[in-house]
Amino acid sequence: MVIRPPEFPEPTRIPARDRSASRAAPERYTARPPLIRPALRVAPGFSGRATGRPYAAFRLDVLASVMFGLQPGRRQFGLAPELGYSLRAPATEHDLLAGVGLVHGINAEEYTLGWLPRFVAQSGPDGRGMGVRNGLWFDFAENGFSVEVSHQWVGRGATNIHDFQVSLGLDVLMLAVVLSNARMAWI
Amino acid sequence: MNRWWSSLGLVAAAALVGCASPARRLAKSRDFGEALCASQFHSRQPQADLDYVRARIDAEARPRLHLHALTREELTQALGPAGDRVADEAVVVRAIAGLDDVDVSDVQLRVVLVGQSKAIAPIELTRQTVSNLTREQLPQAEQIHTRSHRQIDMERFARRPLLGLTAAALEASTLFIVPVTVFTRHSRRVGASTVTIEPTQAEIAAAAPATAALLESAEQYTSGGRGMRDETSRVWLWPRFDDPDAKVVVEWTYVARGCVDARPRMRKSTTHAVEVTREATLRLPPGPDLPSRINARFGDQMQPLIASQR
Repeated sequence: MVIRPPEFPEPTRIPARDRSASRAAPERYTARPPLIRPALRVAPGFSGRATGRPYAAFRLDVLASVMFGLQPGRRQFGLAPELGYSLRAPATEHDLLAGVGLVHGINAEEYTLGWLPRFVAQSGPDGRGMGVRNGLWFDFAENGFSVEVSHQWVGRGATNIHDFQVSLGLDVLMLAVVLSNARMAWI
Repeated sequence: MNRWWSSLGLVAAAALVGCASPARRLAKSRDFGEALCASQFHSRQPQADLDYVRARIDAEARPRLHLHALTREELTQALGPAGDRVADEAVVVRAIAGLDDVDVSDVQLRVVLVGQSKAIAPIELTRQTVSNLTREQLPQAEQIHTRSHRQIDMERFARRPLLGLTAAALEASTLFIVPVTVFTRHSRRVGASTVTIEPTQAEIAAAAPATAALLESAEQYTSGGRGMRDETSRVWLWPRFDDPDAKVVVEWTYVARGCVDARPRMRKSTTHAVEVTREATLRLPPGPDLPSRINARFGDQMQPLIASQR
């Protein structure tokens, strides 16, 4: 007598259907509610001036902002009110910046893209001026580095000054959060 | 005037749709994980919303089950006289549970055989329990005992030979009473130990062929993880009993994990799991023995659990 493993007959199956969600899940009630992400960005960079000397200069931005998510999900649209200080040297100029940006991403697991318009109040050796800076900001995923390309116009009396800038930013607040092992919703 | 009333009706309908709770809206778009979370953390009527979501998941997932119990003839045909002995004491059952793919974190399913007014605990499928049923003798595991002894560290001797030889000479001069080489780490004590060598599959198959065959079959017909996604299959051994009111009770649970409320947040908050459980009772029809009653109840088709409650 040959002993063999007993066999079970296969029943007739009910054909399976795909009943997964009919649209992309917004994750509103699971892990991704609207996020609030503060940032403190230190961004050294290059400044080129088309309308006067010095043509090329070093620029350092220190910018504090808070990104407020307007919707739930892995990638969120949000507003980013921002305050900052900017230094341009040589022929030292000091700028104060204030504005509200529009960002998409916010969650640090993904990249964030932003349009950052700001008002500029400038003080330098040639006097004071007011103007506007418009920046396109790209924040890399999963680290605190970002790149900003911007144009700044400042009216100083009858003189118009146009600067073009490229800066590499490091979010020192994010660095501190990671080092302190704090449990933030946006990391 | 009619147009005015129909416009008002449309506005009212839109307001009603807009006012539907988030849980119900999410359930309608089959976003069941989110819907379960919303019913518990963002609802004015949590129980009503949970019941609604549960009914929607059931309708979309269509949970189904099939049991097949091996008859005495099937067991004897495969296992020989040992199959007859197994059939005297136990019922070998294969269960297949399935459902359509729905968006929840997990689905858990529990099948309980109820007889003589209590849940019948299944017999654990181990070599020992199966060999008790087949009344075959399993080969014994070999045990190797090692007594406590001293082991010389040759690497240490190679690195510090002069110290080692001096320590050995000193230890010998104390008639090996003072373990000087242990102090200098040229030797170490190894405690007593017991190593158990289990018999191989081939040895088990030779000594207890019916046990090995039954275990192989159980392994072959077991698939899927602990939770249930799409389809899962298990083989159980239930002790044989006689009760005209015997029934199969199926309990299944939909789980949504990682639930949080929808407030904007900066810091990570604690997440919760929401579970919703359903139960179906399947009464076994009368029959000559338990396997034939189970097979008569389930036939050769997967049985929908929702319809079978009727």
